[in-house]
Amino acid sequence: MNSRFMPIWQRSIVVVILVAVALLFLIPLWWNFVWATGTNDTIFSYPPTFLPEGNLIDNFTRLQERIDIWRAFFNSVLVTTATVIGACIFCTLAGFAFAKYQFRFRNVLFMLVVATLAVPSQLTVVPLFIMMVRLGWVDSYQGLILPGLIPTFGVFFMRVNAQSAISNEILEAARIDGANELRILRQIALPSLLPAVATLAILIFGGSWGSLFWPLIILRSNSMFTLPLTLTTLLGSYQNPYDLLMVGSLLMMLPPLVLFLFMQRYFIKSVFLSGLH
Amino acid sequence: MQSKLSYTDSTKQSFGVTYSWREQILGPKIAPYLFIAPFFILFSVFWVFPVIWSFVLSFERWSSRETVWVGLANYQFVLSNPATRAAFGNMVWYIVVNNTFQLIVALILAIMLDFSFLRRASGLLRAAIYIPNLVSGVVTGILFLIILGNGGLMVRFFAQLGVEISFLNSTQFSKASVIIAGGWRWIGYWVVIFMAGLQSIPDDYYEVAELDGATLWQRFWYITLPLLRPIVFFMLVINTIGTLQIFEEPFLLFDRSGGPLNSATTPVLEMYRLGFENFDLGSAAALGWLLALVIMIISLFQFFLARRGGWVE
Repeated sequence: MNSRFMPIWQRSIVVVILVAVALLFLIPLWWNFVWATGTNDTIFSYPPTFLPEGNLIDNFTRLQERIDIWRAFFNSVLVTTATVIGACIFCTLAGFAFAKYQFRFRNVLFMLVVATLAVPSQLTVVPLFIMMVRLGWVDSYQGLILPGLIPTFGVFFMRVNAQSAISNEILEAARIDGANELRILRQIALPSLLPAVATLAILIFGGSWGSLFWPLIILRSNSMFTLPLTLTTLLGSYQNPYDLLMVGSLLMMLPPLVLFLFMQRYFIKSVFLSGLH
Repeated sequence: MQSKLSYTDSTKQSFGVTYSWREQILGPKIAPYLFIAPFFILFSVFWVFPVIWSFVLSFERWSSRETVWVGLANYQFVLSNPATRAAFGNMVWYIVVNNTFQLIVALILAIMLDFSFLRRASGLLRAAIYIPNLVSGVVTGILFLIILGNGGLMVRFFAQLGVEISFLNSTQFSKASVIIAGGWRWIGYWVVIFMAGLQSIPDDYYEVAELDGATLWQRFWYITLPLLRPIVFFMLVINTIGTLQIFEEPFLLFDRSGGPLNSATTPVLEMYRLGFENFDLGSAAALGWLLALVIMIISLFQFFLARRGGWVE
């Protein structure tokens, strides 16, 4: 909103409120860092401390003694990478086909995809679990990854983007020049769809990296646990090891934060996309 | 497009070109099926089939040895079970409070961030408010377990003011704790959405109103709010559906339970406990379908309400 004629005192109030709120949102994250470098006494000191201490390495060593944190980190990276790559490929292929080709059952199949947007994913969880038991895929990477490869909002999103980003004339010109459809996809469609794929990837990354519900159900052994699941196993004992938990949660929030620094634009775009699911 | 395709086909034929199998498979007739195949194979196996099966399951008592048809018994059990009843009761509270809280705070912040005098600082402040959204539900849960827990910062702060509040161990404030933790994570997200809506309102509208002597409040009430209605509606629908699926915050804040006396439990949490702690999979499926039904009814209701009010096309 244009605020040329806003008096200084009103402007000052707005700035003070906004800075205070921004700090309020950032302080818990800063505390996570400070607490990871402190002890349980630091965490529960009152008034709270805001300066880091020197126990980060010590806390990390003790965390490694309790749980295999690198293994969990590796599992999370593996599962998230596979999910992001797989889901992006499948959604892009299907979205492009729905946008740019005429084929039988196209509309029926697309309606089916759209209809699932209104169905909560939790409905599938119980039968999926039984299926995984029968297949012997409980506590396996494939059992963890496969159900996450089909975010239906992704197909919807890629279709919309393919419709607006790729012109039929260019596709036709390529066909006349003798390009097959795979080559058209690789050399014409994909380059113009890349920003959309990046946006979709960010969103799927966020959901997969932090996912707790499905891993909680499907995983059994410590060596398979993902980072979020491993952290929850530290909770619930007589006294929660908060200093260790803070190191773990610091490790967990770093990848999304680093990614945000480099791809802020796509994060903001992904906000609008996630309204779809 | 169709006519152009046949043009290329006939051109090729007139030059006496025959199609190899590779050309046919990768031609525009068959390729689209190949493109949708990977998605739809997985989609049928891991989505469509489970959804149908969960409907059948909700009428069965499932066990690995013998599965028995029990009719509506699972639904009767779910609807009479105190914990699930509490979950659906809490859900109403969560929807009302969470929507109101996040809408008001996010809208006020977005309007302030949209003032032109902030210039570049606006983007920086927006990023600061949005960053908690990058953090997962598990990290949020652990952080607020410390901040709101016994001996934690908030409890001691209020004790200093002479108010004895236990956030996580009282039936009174357990739901509010979930809302606070969720608000920290999601308000920035709505701020981003509202700001995009605000930026799409042309500056001319405000300038004309300013020339006519409209106050800041009048400009908000007669220009901003009416033009923002579709986005507010969108936010309410999405946030309601999200609120119905709260799981991680109560799971972590209350140590895998639904809070003291189930005061903060949610349908998804109860579904997890029924299915994967009690292994009553039939009842879990029934609860899932009740939740799906509620989600569909609420979405439809909100949609018709909005249409009557002319909020969406």
